[in-house]
Amino acid sequence: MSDRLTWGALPPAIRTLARWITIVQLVGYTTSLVFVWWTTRLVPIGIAGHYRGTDPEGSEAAMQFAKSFSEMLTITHTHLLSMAVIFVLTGLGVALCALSSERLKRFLIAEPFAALLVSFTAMWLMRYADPRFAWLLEASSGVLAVTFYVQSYLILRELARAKGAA
Amino acid sequence: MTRALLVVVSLAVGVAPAGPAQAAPPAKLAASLSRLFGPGTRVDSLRVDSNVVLRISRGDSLLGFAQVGNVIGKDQPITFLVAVDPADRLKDIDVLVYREPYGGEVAYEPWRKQFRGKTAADSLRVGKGIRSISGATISVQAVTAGVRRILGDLTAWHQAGAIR
Repeated sequence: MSDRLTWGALPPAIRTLARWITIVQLVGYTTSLVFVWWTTRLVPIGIAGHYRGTDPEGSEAAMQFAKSFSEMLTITHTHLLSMAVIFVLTGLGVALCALSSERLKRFLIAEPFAALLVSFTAMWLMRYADPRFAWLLEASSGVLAVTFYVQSYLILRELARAKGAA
Repeated sequence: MTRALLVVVSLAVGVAPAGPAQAAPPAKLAASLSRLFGPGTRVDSLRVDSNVVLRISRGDSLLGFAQVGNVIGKDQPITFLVAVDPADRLKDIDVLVYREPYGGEVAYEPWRKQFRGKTAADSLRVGKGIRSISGATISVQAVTAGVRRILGDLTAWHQAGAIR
């Protein structure tokens, strides 16, 4: 709708800021995924082992001990707060995109916040209830990552179009 | 643990070169020595240069030596004990005070037991004889280096007759 604020209507300096924030966030998020791959191999058994610990005699690799309650609280609050900020920024970016489907736009904005809550609930359930919740954690984290890359793509595409039209 | 043991241990900790901020609480040290060498032992403080070595004995028989050390983890000191038997084999290590928010797994039994029976001639290096701990790499490196240094010192002093 033409009466809505979009990237094309904003000053070029704001678009430059948005472009670079998006690029840096892409690098940061990708690095975090590499870190998770390095520590868990991105498989449910590796994820469960990272939080619940593994048999110290089971391999010659670095030992993994179960995360303490205090560590679980630290991981939860630091990730929830920092990732919420990331998705506030990408959500704002998507909100300013001129997508044809308003429903899709709203879904892309809201989905990461729901996925964050599901992911961290799954993390606690995996640690203290059943290691099989690693599957839920992996699924919700996967959806979260895909949404982040889709959001970033849409923002960068919109910014490139706005630059071309200017 | 006897009062005499606590008194000797307090003396040893009080004169340790590490300084009061990095000293082990006497009760913890006494409990650790009791765990490692059994109850009813005699603990004497020996000095080698500026170092304090604890000699543990029961009756006329020497049970071993121990020394308290400090290493810096990420940014806080880790206070630990290294105990050896009369044949200079590492009996056990104990983490007496861990001050960092992360990496406290170096105090866990499965990691500590890797050191038992090692001598100064063995490789006490992370990845070569000593396994690391996921999420505690800095503490693992620091404590391993500290244990290697103290084991080397105790062995050298014992073989040179500086402690007996």
